[in-house]
Amino acid sequence: MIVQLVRKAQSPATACLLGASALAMLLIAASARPGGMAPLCGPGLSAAALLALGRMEWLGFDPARWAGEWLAMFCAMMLPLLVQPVDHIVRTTLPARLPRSLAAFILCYALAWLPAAASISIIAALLRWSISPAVLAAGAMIGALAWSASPLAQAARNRAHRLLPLEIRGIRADRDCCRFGLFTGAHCAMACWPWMLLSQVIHDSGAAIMLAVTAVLAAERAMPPLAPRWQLPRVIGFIVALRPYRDLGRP
Amino acid sequence: MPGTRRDIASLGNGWSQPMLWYARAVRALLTQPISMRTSWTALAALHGCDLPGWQSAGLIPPGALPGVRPEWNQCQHGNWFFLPWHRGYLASFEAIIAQTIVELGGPAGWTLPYWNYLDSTAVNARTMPQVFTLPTLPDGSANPLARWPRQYTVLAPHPPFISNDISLASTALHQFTSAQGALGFGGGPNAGGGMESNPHNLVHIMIGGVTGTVGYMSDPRYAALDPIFWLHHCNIDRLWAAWLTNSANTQENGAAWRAGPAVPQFLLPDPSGNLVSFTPAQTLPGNPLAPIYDDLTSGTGQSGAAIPAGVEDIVTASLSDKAPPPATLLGASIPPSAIAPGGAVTADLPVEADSTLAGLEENRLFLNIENIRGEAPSGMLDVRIGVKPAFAAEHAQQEYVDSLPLFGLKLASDVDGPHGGNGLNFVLDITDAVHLLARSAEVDPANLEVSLIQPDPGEGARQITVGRISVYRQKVDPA
Repeated sequence: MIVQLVRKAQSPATACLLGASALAMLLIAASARPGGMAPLCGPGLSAAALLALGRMEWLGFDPARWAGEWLAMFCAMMLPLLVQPVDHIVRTTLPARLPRSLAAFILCYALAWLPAAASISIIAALLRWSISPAVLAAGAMIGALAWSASPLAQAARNRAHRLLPLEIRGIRADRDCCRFGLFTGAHCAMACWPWMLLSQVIHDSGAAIMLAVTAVLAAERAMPPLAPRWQLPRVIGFIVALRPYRDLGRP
Repeated sequence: MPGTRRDIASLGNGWSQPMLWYARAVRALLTQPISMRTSWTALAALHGCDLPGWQSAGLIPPGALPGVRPEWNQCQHGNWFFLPWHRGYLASFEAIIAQTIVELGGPAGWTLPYWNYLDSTAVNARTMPQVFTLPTLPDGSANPLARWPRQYTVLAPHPPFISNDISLASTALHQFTSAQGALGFGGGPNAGGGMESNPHNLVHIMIGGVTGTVGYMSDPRYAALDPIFWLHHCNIDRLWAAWLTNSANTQENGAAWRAGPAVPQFLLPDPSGNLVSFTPAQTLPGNPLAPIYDDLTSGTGQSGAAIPAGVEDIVTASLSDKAPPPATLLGASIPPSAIAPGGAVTADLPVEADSTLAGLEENRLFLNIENIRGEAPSGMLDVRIGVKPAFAAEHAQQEYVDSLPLFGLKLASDVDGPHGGNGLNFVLDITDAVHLLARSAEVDPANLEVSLIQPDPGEGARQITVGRISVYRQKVDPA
């Protein structure tokens, strides 16, 4: 496991993805300290703001702040999931065009997440407003695990493993990278949304919950595709798969 | 210490004792339920399984299907773990068969024979050993080695479906590991090697066929049910063992290859039915899973002047953790349409106009056929390179490059399958074909085109799609 992680991290593209994720995580952790930046990950679209929104009072909602928070969350939690598609782009694109191709892919990946991000923020605000924190945390955790065990989530994870063929020159190369980003982003959002909701509703834990959720999502993504069916939550399947067996080299 | 594996031809024609005991063991394991890890069906499921299809074929009882176990569907294809994973798989299988034979009252020390189909000195080398086609055992009972669906029992081109022949060309590749876009003996992290394509894939398809209802050998989810599978893979494994004895070759030995994938681990049953894990490093000579063969020269493409028979830890190839020389992507194009049975698609050879012949003297050119997808269990795709009509000279011609044996096409195309629907990828060395055409027609390589032709397999034929065609250039290693 460690060997494979180190090998992947030796790739410059992977190192950039993991580095950006770590930076975003640090930023979120710093913002959560008393006296630090305004808390990220959650209250940008608060229940009060939502009510204000309902009364057509826009003053409580700060779109820029919301976008900033989501950008930080996106970088912290989603970039580690892009190791495989980014590796595909690096391997199959002309080096001179690589920055442009990667930018097109990541931008469209983030765009595909946008509707889910907005929906998750609204749902999280409503839930925080209406349910006590302890019940909400437990419910969101059970919901995320149940989703992870479902055939729908497995189908989405399988599709997030698809590596679409890419043209390498001209507008068609941009088109293919955009299509690849939208395709991967849409299926990532489908696979991950309850976990993102969980990190939103337990926002008081700040970076800690985000770190845990990122680890869960990365573990789920590391598992190979599987026929969609009800199963153990994929993260538990991952832990089971790491179970030590008797090694052939030992008696 | 494992015993010495021998050429089935050396055991004698007909029912030799080792083959008779093999048949008895197969019959015994076939009676065990799939819930037993050492049963015939569970051993085959390690490679791949299609439980509803197996149930329809009567291999597992009717009723509720068993749950898919974590150790099933492990087979490694299309990457550099192909050879080491199958080596471990053979070792596990051999130990279980040997123990079963002892339990049936047979002799200890049974070893898996190999089918030396590329032995040019044997007249019938390419004909499936007789015991796999005889209807009965000497006692008159049904032969469990022969009951399996197959389309052919002779390894040869079967035109028009299978144009090319099995060969040892891949044994001339000196690097185990391929750079991205180039070709190696054993493959790379994301690519299969030359050995996997030919003879491995081609032998599967030459037995199972590509027309109509294919034989089990043509589908990775069924292949290991056919007892001939194991003798075929034993020979593939021997070709790797022989390749390792050539001092001109370089075997991958980097940490990422030695450790194997993180998840899932490589898991095999031992004769007691307990799962054990293994790594590719343990399959190299001198390690627990390294096999012993009686002969590493016959039908292997290695001269073997200095290879004593039966020595298990020969490795004169260099062990290296260095990456192979990188290959440069020259161009890529996406074919305009799917390839219907009997049809073809043509696309420009995706290279720039300044890819002059002078460059070809010092480089190898590799054609990558990427993301090949289709609904048939396996298929074939012929690849030709020719001069574009606008530049065709009177003497211009089309050069046949190769045929791609698409073993496991359907499985690799299944979005919910182990390949995530990314299809199959093949790499072909097109240096000589491009050189010849460009010289004879006096055109720049950029004025060449690639044709992909699907021979019409007739009944049940399906279209094939190719995601991308690309060309890579790799500087020739002066060594």
